[in-house]
Amino acid sequence: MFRRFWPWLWVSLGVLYFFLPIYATFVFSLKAKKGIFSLIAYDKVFADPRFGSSFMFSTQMALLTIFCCMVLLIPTLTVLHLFLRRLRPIVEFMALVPFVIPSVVLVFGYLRVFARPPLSLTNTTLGTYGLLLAGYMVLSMPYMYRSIDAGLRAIDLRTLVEASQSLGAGWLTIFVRVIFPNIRVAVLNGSFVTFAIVIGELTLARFMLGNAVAFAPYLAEIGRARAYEPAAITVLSLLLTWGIVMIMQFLGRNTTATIAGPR
Amino acid sequence: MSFLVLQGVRKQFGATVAVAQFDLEIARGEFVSFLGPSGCGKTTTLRMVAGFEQLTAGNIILDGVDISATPPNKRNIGMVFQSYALFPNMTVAENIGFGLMVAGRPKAEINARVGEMLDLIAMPEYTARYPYQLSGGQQQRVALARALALQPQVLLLDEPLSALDAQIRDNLRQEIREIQRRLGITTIYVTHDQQEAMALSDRIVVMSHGRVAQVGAPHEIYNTPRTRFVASFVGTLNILAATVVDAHRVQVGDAVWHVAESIVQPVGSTVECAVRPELLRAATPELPNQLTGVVQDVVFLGATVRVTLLVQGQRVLVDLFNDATHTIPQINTTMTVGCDPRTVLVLAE
Amino acid sequence: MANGAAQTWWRQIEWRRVGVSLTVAPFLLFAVLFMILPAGSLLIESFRNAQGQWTLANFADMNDPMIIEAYAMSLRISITTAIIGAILGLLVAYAITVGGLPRGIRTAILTFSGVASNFAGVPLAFAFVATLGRTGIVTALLTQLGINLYKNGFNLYSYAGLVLVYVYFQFPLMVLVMTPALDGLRREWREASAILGANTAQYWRHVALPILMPAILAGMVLLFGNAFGAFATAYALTGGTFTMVTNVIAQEMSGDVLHNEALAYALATGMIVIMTITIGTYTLLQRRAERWLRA
Repeated sequence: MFRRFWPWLWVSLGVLYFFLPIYATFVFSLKAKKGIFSLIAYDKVFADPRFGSSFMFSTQMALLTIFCCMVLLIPTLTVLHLFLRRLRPIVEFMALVPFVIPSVVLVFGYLRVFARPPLSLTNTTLGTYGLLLAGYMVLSMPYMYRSIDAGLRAIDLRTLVEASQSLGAGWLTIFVRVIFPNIRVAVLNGSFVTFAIVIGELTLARFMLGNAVAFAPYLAEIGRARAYEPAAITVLSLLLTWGIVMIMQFLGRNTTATIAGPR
Repeated sequence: MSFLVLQGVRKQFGATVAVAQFDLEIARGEFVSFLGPSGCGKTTTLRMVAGFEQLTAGNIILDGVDISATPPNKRNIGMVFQSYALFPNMTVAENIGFGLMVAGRPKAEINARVGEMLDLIAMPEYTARYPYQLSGGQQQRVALARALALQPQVLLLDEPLSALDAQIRDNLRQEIREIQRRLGITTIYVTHDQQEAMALSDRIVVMSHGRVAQVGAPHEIYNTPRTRFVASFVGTLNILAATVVDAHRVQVGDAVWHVAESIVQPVGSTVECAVRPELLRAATPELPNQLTGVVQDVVFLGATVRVTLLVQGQRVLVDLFNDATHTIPQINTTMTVGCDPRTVLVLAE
Repeated sequence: MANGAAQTWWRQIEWRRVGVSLTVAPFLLFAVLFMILPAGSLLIESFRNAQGQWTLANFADMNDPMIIEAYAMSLRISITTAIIGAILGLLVAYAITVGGLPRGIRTAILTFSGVASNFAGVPLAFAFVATLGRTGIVTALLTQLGINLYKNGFNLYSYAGLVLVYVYFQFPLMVLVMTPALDGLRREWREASAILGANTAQYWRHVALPILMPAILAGMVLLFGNAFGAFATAYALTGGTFTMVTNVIAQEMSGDVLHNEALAYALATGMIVIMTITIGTYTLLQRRAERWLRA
């Protein structure tokens, strides 16, 4: 046992660093009333309709981002793996670009290009939301790209496609019934990260939509004025994020099981 | 006196017995191969000699010293791994000199020794290359030089050729044998390839299920395998069901065969007779042991022609020399083959 | 006749290639529209003044004590948290790979790391306020034990506090980057070095650490970039007043007190340059790490 002393110590230290703030936030959120533990902070959070609306908004944006990223990236990467290997470095580079542009820079770039004439996208709600969606897709691009790329690398794509074609499947069928089920687990990993990014994303939402619409700016605004509610919201957002991630994982597992059978 | 002695060596991983009982004495300068299928315990035994695995029971004695509890870095043993295991961050010279560097020898001595070793493996111009710039065969030669640089008392080779292409494998096999002879270093060689073991070894240890099945010189193992396992693992063998007639005769199908060695099994019992395909020949009157069957298949292998005969429901392989003056047997014709009584083995199990 | 047939065949191939290439078009269009164009527009604008004339004045304006301080602070905090995060992350990654801890611990740590490395921004800032803020749980606990953090110079809303918060998402990222690299250390290397007479310390010094070094450096560079571009955490914690490049850009772009868009573009260009160097270095190091670990 003594031989494992150092590994255990480092892991304990890491776990402590990870859980102490979460634990402290939870305890803190219960101390709204002096001397006793209470759920008063949570009552106040739920009393504010903006909490629910902003969280719902960000959740919808997150799911939409995941969906759009998949639609954009899966066919592109499949084609790259199958036919256009020489183009891969270019696309790989593009997927790295978001790392190079900090979100603060990105959002002002968007406002400069799209918010003024001739495009003036931000004059309509739909235009603004669309621009925000594009921004979220850019932020999550590296993660989605990597997970889909890893998924495609792990399967024998060419054989799968040729086998499907020889059985008479069209491209739509191949994508939906063959490729996607086989890279589902990898795509799911990227989706979790994307989900977490969009829910917690402050910069784009703050400068495109102002303070109240999306979740993180709302949380930031509350945090400036109140003491205990932000802690309560942080706990709630952690729980909700985890809950949704688990639901996604469950749905993903379930469909995998029905299509690919038990493994 | 034996140089390296393994006494009652046993290794268990939890409830799994990897090596049940292993006894062997190796003389100084001897080349011994451990031969067997995967999972027979040959690599585990080698790793115990190296010191990577602790013995569950038994002793390993090297030059009169019990090294069973000595850590690997204090054993003065050299080892070559199947996957080369060259350090990717070091050049060829640094790899070869690693042991001397770690031992704190002076730079001049290291350089001189590295030079000698590079000459030994005939790669003097590769000093500054990195492992990823070398082919598999070159990497393995460097690994051999690295293992030999410290002048170890024993050299261990764990399937060193199995990751290489056939052509390179044959060349390197030859080279290993030459280097071993020149340096006179005591060597243990683990392999599952019987040809490799035959070509290289002074003695072969055939292993099966964690036990020693037979120890002997290559020709002993091949010509007089003691068990059915050894017989079938080393070379190809026809195994025929037979009944003992008397101490020197057995009934094989319709025919009565003579056996040179004395049969220990009781008269009337069922035994298995073995004969190698290359020792069966087209029948002549001088050959008392004969078999007649229908030709099922003829495969042309170059130097030999392998004929498959069906003899009363048993398949018998016959390797004939490819001789342009003879005609090759035709499928579905009958053929009679025979063998010398000295080539027939009656198997113990 | 034969010539005509050959030409038709040739044409078919070309059409097919064009069709295949077109399937990549949506991605490239998206990339150009939403990545290259906005960044490029900022780059170009940084060379123009408010009247639209070409100038280098915006970069000259960067020679200002506050701007220099902002860059210095961003660099300082990024380098510090990259080093601390890398060391802590390396130790944890070591523990769950070579350290030989149970498989379940490894899976759990990797899952935590995946979550924690993305648990940045506003919620993280509030979690630390609740933990180490003036009335935070740990602050209160330590006060009871006789250690008053804030009287001893600690302040969550300062440099030291930011470092602590940043490390929270930095070290899990290092765990994620280093785990595959440590997995790539082959057992045979350790055994080969042992049989050649090296002890554990010599193995680490001469073999394992040099092999890991490109991956470690790549990880640190990634952590540096991760911290350098961060905005939300510091914004939520200090209300955007802390002098860091990202904060200053936001203030110059949209603030009431400071407002100089052209300068903001120059600042953004500076960031892009630094981040490009960072990611370029990272890619080079990563390539070397992969080559060694594959050999």
